[in-house]
Amino acid sequence: MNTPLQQLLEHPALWQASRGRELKPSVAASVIATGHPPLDTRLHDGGWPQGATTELLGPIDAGAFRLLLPTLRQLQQRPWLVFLAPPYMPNGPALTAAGINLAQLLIIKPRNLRELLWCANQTLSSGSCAAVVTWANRLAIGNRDLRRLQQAAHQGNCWHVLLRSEQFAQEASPSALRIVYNSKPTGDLQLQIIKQRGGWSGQSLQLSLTPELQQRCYIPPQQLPVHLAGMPLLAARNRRYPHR
Amino acid sequence: MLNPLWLCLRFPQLALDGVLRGNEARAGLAPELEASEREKHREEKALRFLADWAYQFTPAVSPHPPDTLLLEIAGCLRLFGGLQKLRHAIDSGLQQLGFTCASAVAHTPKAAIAFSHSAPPQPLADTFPPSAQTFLQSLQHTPLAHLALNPKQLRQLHQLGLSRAGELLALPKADLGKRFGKGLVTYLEKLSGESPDPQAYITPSPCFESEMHFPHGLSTVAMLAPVMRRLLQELHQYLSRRQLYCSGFCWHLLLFDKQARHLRIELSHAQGQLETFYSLTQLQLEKLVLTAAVETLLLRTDQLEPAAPDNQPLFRELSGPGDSDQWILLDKLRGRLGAEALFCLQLQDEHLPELRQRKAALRSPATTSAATLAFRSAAAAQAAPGQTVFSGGINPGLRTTTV
Repeated sequence: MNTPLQQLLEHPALWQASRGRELKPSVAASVIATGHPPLDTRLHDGGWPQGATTELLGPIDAGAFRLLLPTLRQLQQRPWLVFLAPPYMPNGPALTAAGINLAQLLIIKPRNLRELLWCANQTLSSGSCAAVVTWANRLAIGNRDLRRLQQAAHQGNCWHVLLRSEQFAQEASPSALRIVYNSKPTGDLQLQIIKQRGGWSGQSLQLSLTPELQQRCYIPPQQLPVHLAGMPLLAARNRRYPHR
Repeated sequence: MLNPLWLCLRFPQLALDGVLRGNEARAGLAPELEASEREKHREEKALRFLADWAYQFTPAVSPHPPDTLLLEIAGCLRLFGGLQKLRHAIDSGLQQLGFTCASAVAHTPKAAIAFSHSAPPQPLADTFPPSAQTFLQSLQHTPLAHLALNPKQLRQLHQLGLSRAGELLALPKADLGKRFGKGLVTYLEKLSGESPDPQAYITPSPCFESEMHFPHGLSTVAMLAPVMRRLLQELHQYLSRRQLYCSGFCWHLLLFDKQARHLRIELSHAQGQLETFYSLTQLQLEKLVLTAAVETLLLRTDQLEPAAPDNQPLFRELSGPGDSDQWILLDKLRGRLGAEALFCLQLQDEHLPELRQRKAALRSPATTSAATLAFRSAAAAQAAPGQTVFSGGINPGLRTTTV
């Protein structure tokens, strides 16, 4: 049987929920291990999608960046690692300690959204960047521009990470992988996958990014001992030398 | 000994071509005559430009102002596959540049200049250089008016009833010398090749410069782009002929309101690719604001360096993008955003955390020089196997290699 419908069904890029994870080998051509085994198991392809956009939606803090660090450490084959519009100045000694080669790190500070999109497009499609991490935060990027970035990442076979505010979680997006994150005061990261390739989304997990801190005894601030009695007052001023 | 062979390139319309090239479309639209002052210095510049251009064919290029170039081509005929192919290459090249040219081949420089005046020049179809007999024959038939004689001599010779060079050459030299002076005899000896006629050759200029003039002006950026591409094409050809790379160039735009605009384009990695040059120029053009129409467009560069052989991987599919791609990307970003918008971090030996790092501008690592290589191999020879050798480079931070 060779009807057009059959041909369409046999197309490797067409995902069918009924066939579940059957199509995995053909679709998951290239992924990058996340470095967090619990997250790898929840992703159908088994890692960050190479040559596509990964959206991380959440507040601006170091949580998301720490999630990316193990992968960024691995990606050093190509000349550049690009940080596009970071909200704060990255800390060089900390990055070196994390295993990132500072000579490869390229930091770009565009002035507006237009320049940001242009830079992202150029760096992604150039093919000489291992990864591009873009902090778009509250900037509203249109669906068309997202699609263009996704295509540029595909063209340059470059891993694109787009950090956006959580407010965009409800909007549709062409990105290959979308994860909402939330940092816990304990240092853990609450992740919820809202879109991924190759299967159903909706998985949620809690990652501990600093396992070495798990051992310590954590007491919430409310439970810390408080001096309920009044603080001791200072001695009265010396009468012989009153200070005017 | 190889018989010298001279190719004369005469540019009868140099005054016009030097000024008007690049204006073909305009000339077609507005054919009305327009008188403007002749500019000698521009002709000199144009002739110098052509001499530099002709240097690609032969190292023996001799300019004869105001409008003639002499090329000694006996040594390069084999390289270019014969006289016909060489002349074809020169003719088509000049046509592309927008110059009209009359050319002729002869065995002496003076004869080549004389031949270039004859109305239908020698047919281009000559596959072989003319033999000595043919040369002498055609010299015999050359009209006296085509020789470099002053009007008085010419008039006197005509009164004698002479009209062809052959008749003049047949006269006894001693008598001619008595009547017309020693100059004429020397000239005739040089013309027929009896006495040597050394020429002064150019040394190629160490920088590239090409300009175009627009008497009517280019008023929009969109009109500038194709003209700039054409000049960049000339630069590209210049670089590939000389086996040079360029690490930066500068556009000078002279406007009608006596203002000048300069667009400086720096490349972090010296190269010779036309498309890169053009896309970087376009990025600069986007920011350009013109207050008046552009009268003169000049492209100039003296940042030339010998071309490094391009390394190609043996297995293309196994390797990533080329080494130069990363620098092209950097130049593009810098061209659009400015140099201060992109930087990398560099660690410093400081105690205070806030001073531990600083922003560093991105530079291309200098190509590994022979000195570095020698140092590296000497260090490697001294080191015991397994010992770490530090090899210095311009790249920030030390790279370590283990032998």
